[in-house]
Amino acid sequence: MHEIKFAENIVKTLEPVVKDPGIGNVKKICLEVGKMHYIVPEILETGFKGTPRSRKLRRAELEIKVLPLKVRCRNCSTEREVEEMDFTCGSCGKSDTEITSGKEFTISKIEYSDR
Amino acid sequence: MKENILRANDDVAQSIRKRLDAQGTLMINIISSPGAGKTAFLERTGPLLREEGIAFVVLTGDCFTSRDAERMDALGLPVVQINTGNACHIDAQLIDSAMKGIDLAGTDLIVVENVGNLVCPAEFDLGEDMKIAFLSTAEGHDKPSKYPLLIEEGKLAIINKTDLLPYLDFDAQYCRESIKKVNPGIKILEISCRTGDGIDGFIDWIKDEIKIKKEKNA
Repeated sequence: MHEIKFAENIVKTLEPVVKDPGIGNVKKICLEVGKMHYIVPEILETGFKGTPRSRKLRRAELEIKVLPLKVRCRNCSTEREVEEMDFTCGSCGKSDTEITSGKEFTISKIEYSDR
Repeated sequence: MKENILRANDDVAQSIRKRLDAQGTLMINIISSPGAGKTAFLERTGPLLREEGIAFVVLTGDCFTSRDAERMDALGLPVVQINTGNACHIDAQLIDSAMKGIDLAGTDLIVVENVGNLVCPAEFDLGEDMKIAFLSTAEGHDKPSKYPLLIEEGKLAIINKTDLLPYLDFDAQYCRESIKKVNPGIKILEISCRTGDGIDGFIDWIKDEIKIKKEKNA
């Protein structure tokens, strides 16, 4: 449901960018979304198709890359991918870990034709 | 390019945060599933906050009705209704509009009662100082593992409806552990809005947080 809002935000963010006269029609919008976010790519694509946008963005397609959830231990520096929701370090057992991947929520690239 | 998908929202959130910081006003964003007891919690704590001399406003989000606002209105608690229409969450723009009539200089605390939903509201920065994960025993003890984003971003987790524990198979220890596995630094409070158990713990905690915010921005 919130994917519709995300789609609107993507358009809102890109409209000023594509005003650049050097940018032609946008073909692809590449997104990087971490696993911590609740995104269903198919719903985001549908939401994006239904979001009003200017001519240069009209034919753009979304490419959504889902990034894994990873934590690194601040004690022993071990990095691992989290499957079950337990961020505790698997190596030394300390709970002082930081997320190194999985909270990304970015537009990483747009592909467009030159004018 | 590297641009946050929610930049349009986050720009508004940052502007809200700046205004709150300038006046030392604390904003908390309470997120729960429907029926966890957010409104009952505000009905319980509101009069106590008032007794403590804390100037607060509740911004309450609801998809369609104004029932939550009416319940608080009945107690004379200051409340602004936010109707989110078909949106399943409150975003920064809605908070920005709802704040227009609020005198921040005379307000210690703004409480956002988000739309009942553990998924979408966790995604949107409102400019708040902290998110509060509001859970209840009736939902089952597995919710923290199912909705980790809220737990990871929360500063406080409240487990409500402890009065129902004798009637449920709720494993409180499992619930607490699964919260700490995602966010070891989070504070956990167990309360019952029905009996009032544990409510004083929240009042003490929020008084400290209000004090910290005021001192930080003095």
